[in-house]
Amino acid sequence: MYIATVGRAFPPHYADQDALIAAFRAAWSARYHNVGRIEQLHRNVLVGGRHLALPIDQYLGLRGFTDANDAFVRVGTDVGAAAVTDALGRAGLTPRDVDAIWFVSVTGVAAPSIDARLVNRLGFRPDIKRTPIFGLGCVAGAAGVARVSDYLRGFPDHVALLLSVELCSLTLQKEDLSIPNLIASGLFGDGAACVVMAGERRAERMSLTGRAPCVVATRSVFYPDTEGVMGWNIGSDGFKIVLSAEVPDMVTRHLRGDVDRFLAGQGLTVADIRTWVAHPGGPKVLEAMQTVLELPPDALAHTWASLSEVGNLSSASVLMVLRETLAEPPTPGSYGLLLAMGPGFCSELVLLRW
Amino acid sequence: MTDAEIRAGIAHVARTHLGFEGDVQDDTQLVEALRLDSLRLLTLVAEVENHFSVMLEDGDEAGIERVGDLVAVIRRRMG
Repeated sequence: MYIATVGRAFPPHYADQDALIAAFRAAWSARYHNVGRIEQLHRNVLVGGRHLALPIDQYLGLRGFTDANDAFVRVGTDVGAAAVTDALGRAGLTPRDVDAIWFVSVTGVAAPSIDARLVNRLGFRPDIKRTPIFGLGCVAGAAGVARVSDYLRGFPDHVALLLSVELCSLTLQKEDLSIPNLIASGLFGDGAACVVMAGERRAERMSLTGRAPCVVATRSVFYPDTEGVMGWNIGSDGFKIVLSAEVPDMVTRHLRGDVDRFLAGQGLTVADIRTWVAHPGGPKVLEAMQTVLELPPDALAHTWASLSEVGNLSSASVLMVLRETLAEPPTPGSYGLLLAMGPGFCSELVLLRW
Repeated sequence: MTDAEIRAGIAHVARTHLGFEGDVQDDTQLVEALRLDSLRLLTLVAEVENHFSVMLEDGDEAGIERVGDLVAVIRRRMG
């Protein structure tokens, strides 16, 4: 199970954090006495700017969930197609070469799903196996790589895609001035990422062995009775964020033990991991991760850079970090750990070897 | 505004934004009673500002343990 390439795409609209803060101040100042707190929260997340599904001035015109989800389907199909095209082009493949596709998102819903629309638009084969997944949230990038890997163990001649499309800006709740929503409105951005993976025998034919990372093992960890840590409250206005202060605590409490047990099963320790591909959840999460895993200062450099450049893209983020990692491949034979956490609450660990 | 009216305002904020249904007295311990983690503390501060049209300063939170402390800070910021 080899990772051949990662493609990406962003919607064409981009706003730096200053412009976004100005827009939020204008929108919320009438109902929020100390608007300086909004700016403070939006500065604290260390995001420099974000891509947006729509021009910034169109968000106030969205009337409820129907408008927002219509935009998700329209823009999501566009950026999804662009991410797939980028990923397949880098791998020297065409849509006809793809045997299976996993589609993950937590920021919009569609039936037929986005992957079905891409079969028509991009010309995948009629026998392509499709698995759309909604609800894994930020963990879906890592979980998706793990599930595609599971599939390819059974189908070593196949090529499979993992496509993540997250248009977080379309979930903005304009009437919700809760602290979690204020943080989310400063943290999350829009984008799509697509991973091309190949089974063992197909990877040999594609000359991936020896130069591309392979998935050695995966581990899912579910934390019982933590449903309130993160997620959505879904209603007629769409997706309202659930975000508790426990998220960094979950990292501190669980991650080191989970990673140690997972690696021990492979005869490894944290010291054996050369490359860390971590989901950029936010500054507090990353600081907790660095502390509990005792990482050197630059271990999460790609993760911090991704957070700064485009914000937290939910499930697409860890795949963006993987893409940057592939651009500067580590030493052949060295190990990497791809990891993310998300609603459940849960974590997903993927051991890679270059 | 009397201290009792400020206390009633705090009770309204606690009930509306933090789901607190208990009695709010001067000696009510805020962190324990309102289960204030970092996000809930920020919620209390921001909604107190909205409710009373005041701005709390950096450091104001540091000396606040009981509801009576918060009443005093709000009174000070109301001028």
